Amino acid sequence: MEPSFFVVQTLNGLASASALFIAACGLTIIFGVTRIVNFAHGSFYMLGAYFAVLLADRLLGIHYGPLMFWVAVLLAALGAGVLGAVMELTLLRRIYKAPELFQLLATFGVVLIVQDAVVWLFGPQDLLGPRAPGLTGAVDILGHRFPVYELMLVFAGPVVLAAIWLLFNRTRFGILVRAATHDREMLAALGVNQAVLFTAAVFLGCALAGLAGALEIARKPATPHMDVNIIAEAFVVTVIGGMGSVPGAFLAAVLIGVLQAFGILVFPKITLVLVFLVMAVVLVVRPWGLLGRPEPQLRGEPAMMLPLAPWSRTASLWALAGVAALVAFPLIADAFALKLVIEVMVFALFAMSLNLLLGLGGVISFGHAAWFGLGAYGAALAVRHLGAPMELALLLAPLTAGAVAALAGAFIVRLSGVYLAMLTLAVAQVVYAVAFQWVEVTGGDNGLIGIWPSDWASGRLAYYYLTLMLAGAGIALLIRVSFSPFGYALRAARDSALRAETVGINVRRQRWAAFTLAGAAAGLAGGLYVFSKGNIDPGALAIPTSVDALAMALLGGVQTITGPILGAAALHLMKDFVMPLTDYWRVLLGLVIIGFVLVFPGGVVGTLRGLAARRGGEASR
Amino acid sequence: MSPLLQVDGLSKSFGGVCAAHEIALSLDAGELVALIGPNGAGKSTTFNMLNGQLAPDSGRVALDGRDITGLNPRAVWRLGVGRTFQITATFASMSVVENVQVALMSHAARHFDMLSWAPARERDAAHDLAARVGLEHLAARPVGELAYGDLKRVELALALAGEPRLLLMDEPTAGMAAGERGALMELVARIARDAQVGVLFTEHDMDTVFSHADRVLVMHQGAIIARGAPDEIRADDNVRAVYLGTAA
Amino acid sequence: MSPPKPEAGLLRIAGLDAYYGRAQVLFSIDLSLGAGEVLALVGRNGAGKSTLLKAVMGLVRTEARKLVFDGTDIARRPTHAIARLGLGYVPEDRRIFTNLTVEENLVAGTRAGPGGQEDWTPERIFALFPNLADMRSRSASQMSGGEQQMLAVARTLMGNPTALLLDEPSEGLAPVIVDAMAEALNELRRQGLSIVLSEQNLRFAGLICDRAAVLATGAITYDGPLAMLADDPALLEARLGL
Repeated sequence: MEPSFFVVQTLNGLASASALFIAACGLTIIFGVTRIVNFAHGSFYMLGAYFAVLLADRLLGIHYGPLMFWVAVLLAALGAGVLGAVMELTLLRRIYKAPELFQLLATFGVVLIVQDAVVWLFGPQDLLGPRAPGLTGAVDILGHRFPVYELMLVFAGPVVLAAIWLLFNRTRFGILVRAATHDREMLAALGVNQAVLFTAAVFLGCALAGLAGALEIARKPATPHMDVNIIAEAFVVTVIGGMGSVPGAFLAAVLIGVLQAFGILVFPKITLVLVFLVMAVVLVVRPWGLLGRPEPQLRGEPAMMLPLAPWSRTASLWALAGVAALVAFPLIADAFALKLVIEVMVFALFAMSLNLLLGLGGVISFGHAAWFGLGAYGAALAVRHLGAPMELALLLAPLTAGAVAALAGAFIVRLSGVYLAMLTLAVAQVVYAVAFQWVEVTGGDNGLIGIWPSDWASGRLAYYYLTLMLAGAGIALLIRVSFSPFGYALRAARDSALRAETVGINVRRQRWAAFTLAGAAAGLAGGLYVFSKGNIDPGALAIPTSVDALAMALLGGVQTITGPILGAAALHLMKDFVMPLTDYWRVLLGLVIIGFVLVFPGGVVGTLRGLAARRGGEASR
Repeated sequence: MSPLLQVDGLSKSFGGVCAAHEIALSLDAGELVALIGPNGAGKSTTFNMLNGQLAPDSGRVALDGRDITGLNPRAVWRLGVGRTFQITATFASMSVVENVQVALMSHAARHFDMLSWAPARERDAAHDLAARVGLEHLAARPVGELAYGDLKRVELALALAGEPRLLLMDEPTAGMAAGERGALMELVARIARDAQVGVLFTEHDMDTVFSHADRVLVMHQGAIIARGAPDEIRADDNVRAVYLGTAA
Repeated sequence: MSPPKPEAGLLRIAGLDAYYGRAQVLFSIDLSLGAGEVLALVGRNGAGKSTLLKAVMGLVRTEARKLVFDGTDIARRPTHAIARLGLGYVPEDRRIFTNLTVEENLVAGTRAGPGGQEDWTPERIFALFPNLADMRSRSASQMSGGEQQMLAVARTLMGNPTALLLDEPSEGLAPVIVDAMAEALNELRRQGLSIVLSEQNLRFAGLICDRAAVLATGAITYDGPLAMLADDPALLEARLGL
């Protein structure tokens, strides 16, 4: 590589690092103060971009010049900040004490709402912004043409870093924010109203996200998908840098930016994988990130643990009745209904497998799609490249997913809380990136098509019974495991890891085994899914699939056994029946998720049982 | 014959600050020994080194003559050392009996058994143990609903599930109303004598210490400064100075 | 000298229970502090002294028949609102913001008092604690225990409180620092601040306070002149529950 090219490529890397840093530092500030991981951060980035496009068009129409462009950018950032403050006032402040999982889900609900709002307001097409007046040309750097705007971006990151440094070191507000990241309770004892500080921190963080989005309009169009693209990278940057550390975020952004700039030359196929691998390695070596500090131990009472109802005779009767109904169902069902129930059964197994981790293990897996997708791809690849029959492929599905889950799980269970959730997300994104980028093998974005069952199972009816048998067996196994000594020990480790260790239970090993089992069960669901559809694409591995699983478990109620089955049915039926009726089903889904987090923190089944137990308890007194 | 617990020269420093210095003590089966001292004296550090929660910088811990220094808490439990905590740690989503069942299943090394029906496992033994600590009438109640004094009894049952020869009890009566304290310590004393279990406990309440301990060890600034029968300790000027704050 | 009547005090506590999780730590505490009074809260560790101060500040779960400061019911108020009424709190473990400098710690505590008074300035703080003046821009993580303790008191003073709750400010300090601390507290007392001083060290408490309340296993066992306790070891032992 000649030196001049090296310099230009480094500048390219630094330019994208700047954009990444500005977006990520807002995320890290919000986390530092409020301890909430704002999944909706990308949404404010996207809103910033759209606002900037519209404002710049208007303002430049009034008077064409650099001043108007920058006024538009700043107003857009401000707008995103104001909407962020609205989110804090209406949603976040109700869930500061909720479990991390609910916080992630609630902010994901915001993601869904904003996605639809953007399409509704600005249309589904990409919006091209104006070029920045005065920064349109290119300069000559060691014989290479380099765009002036990119050069400006190279400096924008350090400028924002300096501005934040001044804010945090030279103003009372900034000093209070830093103090809050260290010890919120002490700050309250000094008379500082946390509520105001939190709103301000979220405003600042979202305004920075908006600024990052607004700065992008001169180099790429605003699109309705830019939120999810940036959020994964922003997570990576905050986690590598250490959550809550602004300088850490800068360091990590530079690392990732430069890595991508050169990675794309050396390994064009695996740049995405590279990014998430770096994150995984950092988390394994330095579980708190480069400049982060270990999570302070939370003071106060632990979250409520719902008792697991013993499996009663009534429950057995209901289960039998349910199985009988499913066996008899084809007698009255048409092809569409069969297809629907096949999918519900597949997703019920998927949700149940997640619930083993979430409900019994207390392990927040935010990347459960990885195991579903690995099962699906494992089966599909076996058919496509090895010529395996369906029977073998369906065996390979859980084995592939289970084996990879065992490998990744060995590292994942060493972490806890938000960092664990982030590492599961990173693993899922690695798997996603492989499926997306390794086009020769996986078919890339198009996926693999024509993956059909063996002849005997190719009829819809036969495949229905095959699914009923396998998914049913998987679900039955998971229920049995929940009531086994293993399941009890897993739950014990969730309730009190300290006590579990002092009665001889190796908490990590218990969780690792659960992780492997859950991965294998999700893999089986994935295998069944691919043969029911006949094709698979990377969408099955993407973040929305993980969130679907979480939503199903949540709807039915984590910490219950059968809740996820009902949750899977509810969510899937809603998607099938409501989605076709409206273009804006995401708003609905988002509102449902948020509503459930706020109203039913224990899920539907859990909350109803909790109410029943309370009533029963009062009656018996 | 070697004593049940023999500790020699146990030391631990945190960042240059010595939390425990050359701790030496021994304890026989059936004996109740209290470890007392002001905050920061090093009692918790000493306890945590005994059951493997903390690795000592130097020194040796022997159980029945067997070196257990540096083993992890799981291994120490399996060798017969039960532990209770100052702030109770129980399995909040389970009933009293299920709590005990978990400990018994782990003791029987069944905790990776994924297929048998746990509610039926060790059920009778768990009920017996619940009865032994006086909780038979609450056996089916979720521990999340118990009064604090009863939770302390669940802790005791969990510690006993491993058929321990030694019980380490950190503040067994902290957080309990005065009336309940005596009853719990009498129960502990009875179990110690009946099953020939050695008990080492820390305690703030001097009434409890002087009326139930066979011997008392006093820690101050990381070292044991006095040891002897309760009456001797009560009369010790050094100990008074430490407790009355007259030693500036 | 007898303790002020509960209805007359600046801080009035009646029938206060406090809990950590479900463990009850304080049992039906009655206590009051007059304006300008300096009270020693004596007791062995674990007796509930820290919990009592935290209960007043709204930092632990409490139930009280009466919890009034300066005429305002504070039983259900959030911590920051209690602080703004003029109650300054210095916790036992100091809880200095070690990611900030000395001066920034003072900024974090700066706030006008309940009557809008802004009497405390960094200069006045440095006059009270001369050590701190030389380390204004030093990171608080680089301070000794004694210096951190002084900073903790100074930080709270910057909020211009009318009453101070001090949790074992002498704990773990070298004797010479302890004397400096006692001198500073006496100066505050002369300036008219009301103080509750939680202490295990009776000698230190005697340098500052006239009245003492003794806590033993979560209940008040003595409330009266400190000198009577200090002069009568048998009484002290009995009240401490030794």
